[in-house]
Amino acid sequence: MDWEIKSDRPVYLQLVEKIQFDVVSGVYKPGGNIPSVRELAAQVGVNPNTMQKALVELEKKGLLYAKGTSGRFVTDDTKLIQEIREDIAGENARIYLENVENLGYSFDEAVKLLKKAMEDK
Amino acid sequence: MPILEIKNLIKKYHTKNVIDNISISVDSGKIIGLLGPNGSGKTTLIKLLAGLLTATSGDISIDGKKIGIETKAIVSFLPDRPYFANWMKVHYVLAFFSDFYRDFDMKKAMEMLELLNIGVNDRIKTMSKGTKEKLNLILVMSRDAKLYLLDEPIGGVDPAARDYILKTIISNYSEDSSVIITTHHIADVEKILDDVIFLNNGKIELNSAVEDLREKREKSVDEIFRENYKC
Amino acid sequence: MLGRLFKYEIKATSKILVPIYIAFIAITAISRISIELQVDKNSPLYFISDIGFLIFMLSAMTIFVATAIVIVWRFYRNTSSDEGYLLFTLPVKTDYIIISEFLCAFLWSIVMSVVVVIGIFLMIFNSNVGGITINFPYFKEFFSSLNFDGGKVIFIMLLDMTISTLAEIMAIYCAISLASLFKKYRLMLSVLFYIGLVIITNTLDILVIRIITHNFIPQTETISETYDTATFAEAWNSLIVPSLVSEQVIIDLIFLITITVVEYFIVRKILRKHLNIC
Repeated sequence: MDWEIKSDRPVYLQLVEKIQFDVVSGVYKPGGNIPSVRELAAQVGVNPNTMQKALVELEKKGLLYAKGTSGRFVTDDTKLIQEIREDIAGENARIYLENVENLGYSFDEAVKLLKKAMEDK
Repeated sequence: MPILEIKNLIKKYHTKNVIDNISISVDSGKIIGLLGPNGSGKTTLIKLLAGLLTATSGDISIDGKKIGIETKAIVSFLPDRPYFANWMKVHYVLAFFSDFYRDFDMKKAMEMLELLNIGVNDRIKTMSKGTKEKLNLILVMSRDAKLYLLDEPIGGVDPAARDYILKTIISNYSEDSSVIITTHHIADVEKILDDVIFLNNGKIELNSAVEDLREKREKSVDEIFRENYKC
Repeated sequence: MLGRLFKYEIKATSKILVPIYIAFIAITAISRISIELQVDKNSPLYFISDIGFLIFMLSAMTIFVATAIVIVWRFYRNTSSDEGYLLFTLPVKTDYIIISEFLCAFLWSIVMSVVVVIGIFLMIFNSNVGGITINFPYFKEFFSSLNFDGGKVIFIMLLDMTISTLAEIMAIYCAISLASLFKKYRLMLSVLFYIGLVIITNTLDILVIRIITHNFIPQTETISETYDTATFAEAWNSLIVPSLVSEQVIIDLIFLITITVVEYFIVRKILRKHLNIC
């Protein structure tokens, strides 16, 4: 998932989603530190206050924590990371099923489609 | 104390109120977009803040000070034109800023110039338009000012230069200062803004946090602006 | 701050003027040499000696015009064009901006005058004019016959030249500032305002002098009568010296200073409150 931030939805929500994804997919390692607010904001091209708001939101979720002036770090709580990872994956699965059901496929056909997609890769 | 406080500001040209009784309060640590169609009074307002024009009536205070020499020392203004003469060399311009502005960070400016491969002996005449604009921006941003006024900073530059300029503005962010940007290129700029102010016929039509607008109207600022002004 | 502004003014203007002044001296030297060659009248190369003096005159006019153009152009660019953005957002008093340019313009006026004098000297020294060799003994003799009234004359002459030059510059600045109040045709308006100022100033000058000296009788004495019969020394001593060391000149100078100050405040008001950079 790229930093494709759209302007017609609140930016901070998109930032939360993206950073969360980066944490659960291992881009940011548990216990590792993440770039400063300003660096991240400049990287993505968004307002620093908005980035700060997103990071604070992730702190509230427990994914990140701030260590005084040393910056922000990813939690060591691998269990939490795993939980969120499962949540996101689960949500993706749910959306997939809903989409193919709307197209008229049964559950077994849906599974076959997944296998085919895997082979084609 | 807000970094900028405007109360009932009026600027008259002949019989017309180019700025028609506006009041704005800007806190420190904000990046504000000042948008509006041509002739809305954007550039006039910026010039009033920069001390290039005198108000007809009303109050402006920057960091608690009235417009004058004291505010010029803490305001860094980037006009929409290149304001260096062609015969000048980069080191002349650097020395100039360093001599007159106590808050000028020579080291920072040199670093930024080096990253862009701009040499101190380069002549302004030999620079492309994009490079000149970047040079202007570097000088303005290398000042440790309280209020940065950027008038159309990304007008007429290629996308790469535009990205550089936006990234520079973000990287320069400080909680002790604020930035006011006027632009027509709303789509490019809106992601770096905290608040947006719509100016039309010298009056404020909208003054809101950008994220609030996105949430409430489920549209981008660009779309909202186009709807209102059908440019 | 004033010093720094002045420094940058000099830097900006010397780039153009210094080479021009050096070129002038060089051309003068070449002109002199070409005259000294005394090419034979019948040779087709005669014109080299002939035009030497002409070249000198032309180049003297050129450096005068160049200096004037630089002074005008500099003030115009700084107050009415994009460079004004840079200058007027500096944390300096408008007074300092005006004064730094004013003094810089004055400095170049002096330098130009000195350079012209050097040029004239290069042309006439040790040369033969109408059978007279112009060299040190000649100068000594020439000046000894002139009355300088114990230095008063020199002093008043210098004062007059200084104040006139300063008044000229400020009049130019005032004209440009007044023209800047308008959007279009600024160049033309500057010229018109300048002419207008000159006319008004001169008229007022004569009026003021006449009123103060209770002299309403127009000058009828014709100078040309006396010039024909007298040597330069006699004309100097009987005409020029008395007219310089007189009440009239003092009034004139005070008047010029007053006008210059008035024009300064006009310029100041316009640049502070009605800055109109296009």
